[in-house]
Amino acid sequence: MARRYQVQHGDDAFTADTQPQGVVVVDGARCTVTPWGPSRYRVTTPDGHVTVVTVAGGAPCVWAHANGHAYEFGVDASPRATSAARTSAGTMTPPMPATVVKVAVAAGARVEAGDPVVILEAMKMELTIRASHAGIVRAVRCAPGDVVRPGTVLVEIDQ
Amino acid sequence: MRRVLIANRGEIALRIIRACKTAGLDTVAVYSDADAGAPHVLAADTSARLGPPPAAESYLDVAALIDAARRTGADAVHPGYGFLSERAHFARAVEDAGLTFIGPPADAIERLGSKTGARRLMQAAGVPVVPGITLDDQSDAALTAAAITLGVPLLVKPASGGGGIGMKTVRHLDDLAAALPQARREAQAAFGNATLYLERLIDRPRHIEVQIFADRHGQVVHLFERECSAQRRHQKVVEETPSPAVTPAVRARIGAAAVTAARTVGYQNAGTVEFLLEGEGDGARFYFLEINTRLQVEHPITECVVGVDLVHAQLAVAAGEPLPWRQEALTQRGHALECRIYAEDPTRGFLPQAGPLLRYREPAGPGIRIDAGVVEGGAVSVYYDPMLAKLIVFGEMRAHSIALAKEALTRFEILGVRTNLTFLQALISRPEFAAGRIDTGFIDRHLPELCATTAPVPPAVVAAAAWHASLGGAPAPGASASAPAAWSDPFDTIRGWRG
Repeated sequence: MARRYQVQHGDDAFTADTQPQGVVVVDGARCTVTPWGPSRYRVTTPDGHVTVVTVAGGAPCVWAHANGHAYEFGVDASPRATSAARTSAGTMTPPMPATVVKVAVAAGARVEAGDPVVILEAMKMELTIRASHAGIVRAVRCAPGDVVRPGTVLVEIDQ
Repeated sequence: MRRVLIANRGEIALRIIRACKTAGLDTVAVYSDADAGAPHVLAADTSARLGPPPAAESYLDVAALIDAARRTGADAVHPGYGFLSERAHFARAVEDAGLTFIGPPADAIERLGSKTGARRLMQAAGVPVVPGITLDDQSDAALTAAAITLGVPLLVKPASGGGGIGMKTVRHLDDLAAALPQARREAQAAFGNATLYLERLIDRPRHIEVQIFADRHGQVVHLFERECSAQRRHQKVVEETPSPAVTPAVRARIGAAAVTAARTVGYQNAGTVEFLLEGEGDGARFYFLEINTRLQVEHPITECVVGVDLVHAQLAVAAGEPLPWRQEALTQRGHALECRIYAEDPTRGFLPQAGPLLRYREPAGPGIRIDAGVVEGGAVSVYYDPMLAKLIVFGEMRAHSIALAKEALTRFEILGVRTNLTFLQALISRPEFAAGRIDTGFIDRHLPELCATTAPVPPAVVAAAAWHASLGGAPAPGASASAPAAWSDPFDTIRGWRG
C-alpha cells in the first residue's frame, strides 16, 4: 500500500513514498528495494547503482548500515503530526545515563544562564549540567544517588 | 591451580575464560544482576551472582567475590583490568583466603598504587621521571605555591588511580582554584583518596608503554613497546606496535628501563610500564609515568607481534612456573593495531550510549582478531564501561595493518546504539596517522574534522529504512528511554538447557 514517510537523519529530512513491489520514491528519486537475506536489502537507484543496506529496528527509530557507515533515522508515517517537543524549554535533562552527585540549586533560587545546576557522574567522570537560561528554579526533580537518563527532568526553571 | 574465578565482565572476562579453558583449567564467572545471562556468564563452566548492578555492590565488592570463590570451589582469581585489578587490598584478601592471585604480589601493587610513591622509587633506581612536585601539605595554598614553582602548563593528578580520571590540565595559574576541588572530588569518588600531585606538562608527548613480565624465580623480560598516543581526554582509542617513533636505540633503552622498574619493586606476572616520549629519533627522551599492575586492554597487539599468549603465561607464572621465554629469544614481527569500539557519540563529546544491540556483526578475515564482550540481541547497560569490542589487526608492516583496520571497520555492523566506528575510520585515515605523527593531544586538537559527519545520506539508504518501516519492523526495545535497558539476551532461552 502506498504510504508517505518523513525520514529524519540529524538535520536532514527526506520524504519517502513507498509503493507496491518494493518501489520507494525518495525526494523524487525512484529506488527499488529487494529483500536480500534477513534484515538486508538490495536497493537500486535510478542510475542503476546497487547498494546493500542492513537495517534494524522499526518506526519511530530505524537503524541502517551501508557503505561502511551506520545511520540512525527517525521515521514518521503521519506527516501531519508534528513531533511535539519532548522536553519543554524550561527543563534540564541529562545528555547521557548518569548518577546524580550533587544538586547545586534549590527550588525558588534565581539562576543565570550557565550556572551549574546539577553535577552528574557517568563512567567515573563528572559532568556539570548548567542552566540553559536565566530564571527561577521551579522544582528540583532529582537527588544525589539517583540514576537518571536522557529525558529524565532534573530541574525545572521558569523563563 | 585447578579452578579460576574471573573477577570481571565483558570482553576481558571472555578472553581469560578462553585462555583458562585452553590451559585445562575450570572457570567461574561472576555477575551483577545487570549481567545475568551475559556472554561471559554463559562461557564459564560455573557462575556466581555478586549483587545488584552498581559496580560498588557487585564487581567492586571484595567480600562478595571471596565468598563467590569459596562457594564455587575456585582456588585462583584473575582480576582482569579495571574494577579491583589494581587494588592491593583485593590481592591481599585473595591471598589471605588461601587463593592464588593471578597478578603481582599485593605489596608490589601497593608500592606502585601511589603515583607519588612510584615516582620516588623510580627516581632512586635511576629511571627518568617527569619533573613534578609531591606534597604532604595538600592545602590549596601549598599546592598553589608548588604550581608557581613548577610553572604552567601543568597537570593536576590524583596520587592514586589512573586512566586520566580526575586529571586536570592547568594552562593558567588562575585556573588552578577551580581545578583542585574538582580533581579532589573525582579522585575521592574513583579511588577513595583525594591526594593530588602536580607535574610538568610535556608538550606534545607520545605515550609509549612497555609490556613487562616477571616470574617468581627472578627472571624479568620486556616484550617491547606499544604506542598509545591516539587518546581523547586521556582515554586510549587506537594502539599500535611497533611504534613508528621508537628507533632501535630508543627501544633498547626504554626496554631496559622498564625491566629496571619491574626489578625495583619486586614485580611478578604481567605489567606495563608507561612512559611519555619527547622528541624524535635516537635522541628522544622518555619519562616514567606509572606501572599498570595488570593486563592491559591493548595486550593483544603485543601478542600478535611477539607471537605469545600473555594470559596463558599469566596462568603459568601464577602457578609458579618459570617464564616461558628468554629475552634474547623475543622479537617483533610485523605490525599490529587495535581500535577500541565504544558505544558513545563522538559528535556529542563522546557521551556514553546505552541501548539494545539490534544488530552486531563482526568482520572476519586474514589478519583480523576481535575481542568482544557483547552479542547481537544483548544490550549496553548504563552501569559499566561502554567498550563493546576491540578490533585487532595484524599486517606485515604498518601501512598494511592500517589498511586492514580501515577495511574491517567498514564491515563492522553495529545497530541500535551509536558507536565511534565512523570516528575511528576518520582517525586512522588521517595523513598524520599514516605518517606516524600523532601525539597525545592530536585528537583533541582535530576533534571537529574527526567528528564531521561525512557525505550526505544516500537516497538508497533512506529507501531501505522507509521500506523496512513500512513492513512494521518492531521498534527498538528501550527506544523510549524510560527504563534502564535490561539484558534481553537471545541466549537467555538456553540458560536452563546449559544448567
